[in-house]
Amino acid sequence: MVRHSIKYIMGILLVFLWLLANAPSFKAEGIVWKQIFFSKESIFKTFVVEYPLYNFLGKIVSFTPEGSAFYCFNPFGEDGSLNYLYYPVLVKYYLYPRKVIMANQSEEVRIEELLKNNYILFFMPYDSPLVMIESTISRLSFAQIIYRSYDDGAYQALYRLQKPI
Amino acid sequence: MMMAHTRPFTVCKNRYEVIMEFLLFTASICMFILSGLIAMSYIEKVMVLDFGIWARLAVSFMLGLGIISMQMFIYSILSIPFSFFNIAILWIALTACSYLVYDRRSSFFAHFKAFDISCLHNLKWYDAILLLIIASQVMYAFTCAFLMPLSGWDALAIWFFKARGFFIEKKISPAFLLNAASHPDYPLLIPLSVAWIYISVGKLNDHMAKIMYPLQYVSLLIIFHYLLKKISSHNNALLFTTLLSLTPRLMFHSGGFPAMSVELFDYDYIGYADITLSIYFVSFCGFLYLFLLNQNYFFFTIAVLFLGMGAWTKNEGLTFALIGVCLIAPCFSNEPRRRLLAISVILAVFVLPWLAYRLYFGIPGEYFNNLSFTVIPGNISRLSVIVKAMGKYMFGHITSFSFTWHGYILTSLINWRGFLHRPLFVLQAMLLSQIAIYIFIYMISPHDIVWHLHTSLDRLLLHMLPLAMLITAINVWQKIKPYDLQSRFKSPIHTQSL
Repeated sequence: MVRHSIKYIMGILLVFLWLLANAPSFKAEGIVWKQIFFSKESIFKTFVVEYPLYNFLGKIVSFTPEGSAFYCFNPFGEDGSLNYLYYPVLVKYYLYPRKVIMANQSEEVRIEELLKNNYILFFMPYDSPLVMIESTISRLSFAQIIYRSYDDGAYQALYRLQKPI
Repeated sequence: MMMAHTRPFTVCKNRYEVIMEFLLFTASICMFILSGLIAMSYIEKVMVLDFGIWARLAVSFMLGLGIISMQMFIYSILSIPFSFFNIAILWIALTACSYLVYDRRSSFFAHFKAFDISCLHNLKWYDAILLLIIASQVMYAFTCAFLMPLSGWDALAIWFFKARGFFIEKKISPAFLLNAASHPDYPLLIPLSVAWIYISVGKLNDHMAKIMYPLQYVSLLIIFHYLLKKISSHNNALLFTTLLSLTPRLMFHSGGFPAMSVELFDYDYIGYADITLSIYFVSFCGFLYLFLLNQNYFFFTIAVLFLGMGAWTKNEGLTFALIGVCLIAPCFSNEPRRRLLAISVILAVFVLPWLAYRLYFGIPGEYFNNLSFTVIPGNISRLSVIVKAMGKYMFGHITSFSFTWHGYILTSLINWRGFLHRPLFVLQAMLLSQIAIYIFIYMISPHDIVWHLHTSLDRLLLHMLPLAMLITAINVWQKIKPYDLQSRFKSPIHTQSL
């Protein structure tokens, strides 16, 4: 009986040791549970809004044809940051099978190259280091804004390109 | 012109649509399980009485992932378009056959009568605490996996991206693999399984497809518990299953952690193929161990299926299959050729079609194409970097791997005699050989070694994590309860012929 109890206590101590080692992951789990049970806003909003582009891309695929081409400015500079590489992957994933051309903001944009596409996709996560050039685009006569959204992660806009007559 | 200045994310689905999606998703999961159950019932000549309903469902689910994805791959080769009807009809027909044919019915439908609720009444306080911990982890995995959007890099660039392509094109197109997708040489078990969920739901629904990952986590825990319970005792099995469920690296891949204060793609590896591979690895080793203990060919066939499916999940599974074949071949030197042939066919069904497909369409491999006699001596200096990084990840990243690797080394040293005996020796050989192969792959890697280690080593170690935990549990058991295990399994209580 005593031997059995010692075995149980040893087992519980081992589990306790594991729990102690996993304190950071439990903290992260705690944050999730806290947001679910105590957040004033809806569960979905709390989680999804923190991620730029998810809602926006989900929305625009519903009204853009599958074969269309998107010209997109990468809001992160080529500074080796992972975000610079990550967002093109994200945009390509959600817009597939639409064609996506991702350009750096520092690159010079030729109008004829731009007009080969159907849309300009524009997004600016609030942690992006660069100032976007949307004001320039919005002044272009052949670019019409068709959808725009702000959320806690980013400002995003979609322009339709129409070839000038 | 459509103009919208909206606040984001308004849930616009009606209740009927959500319920329908859940029902269709459930149907897709049921089809995984059904295909696995049917495969098991055809394998099963000897009824294993204590192969309970939960273990049966978990094994069936993992087998089903491999079976349905291989079925889709063969359909694509035969130019049969992917649709719910085309894929499901085969399993519905086979289920009907199982019901109509008496001897199949007795094995297939007997599965559902095996659940005995009385076991829950005998729970001790110790069991209750451990079960509560496991349940909390499982609940977290399901909640977080379902709520969070897909964010892992490889999930977006490789695994789920290919699934999207297959769903949209209703086939596997070589042009898509070669031109649009990253890493075209990676096997297709995960992309095709995800595509199957999309096909069943009828749309690209990542949240539904992500539930496949906590389901795999639950399957892993159930299979792990089953194997350990058969090998050792209920208490030992429950304790080590709890420790496994608590290991954060496993949770990164099955529930994920939202990036609240870290970079976007950290701590969420849902949508990767690594947890699947780790389940196939540990299941192969565990069932092989059971076979070596009691010579029940049911366990061996299941083990070989898992071995083949590992090779169909990731390229790392190919090397594991090769080591597995080398280690199990001597066991069959005296067996009839018919049995040897059957096992070779099972393995070949999951290994050869994809290799042949790659060869036919010229899909290049990433590592072995660069292999030459000059590469290895040229990269010998990498060895110290690789070994140091491995040591750091295994023993330094306690918040990621907990004390799993410490426990593995410590118990292996204490139980060094067990290392020399066949069942445990095979497990240790599998684990150590696979680690040696990973070191070799890093040696010939065309990438910058520091970057490559940083981006992949944690996942490669995850492949071995449940297996290391299994070996640790067996080591502990062999030290605290040294008695003839073989006698347990030769007892007629455990196996009974129908």
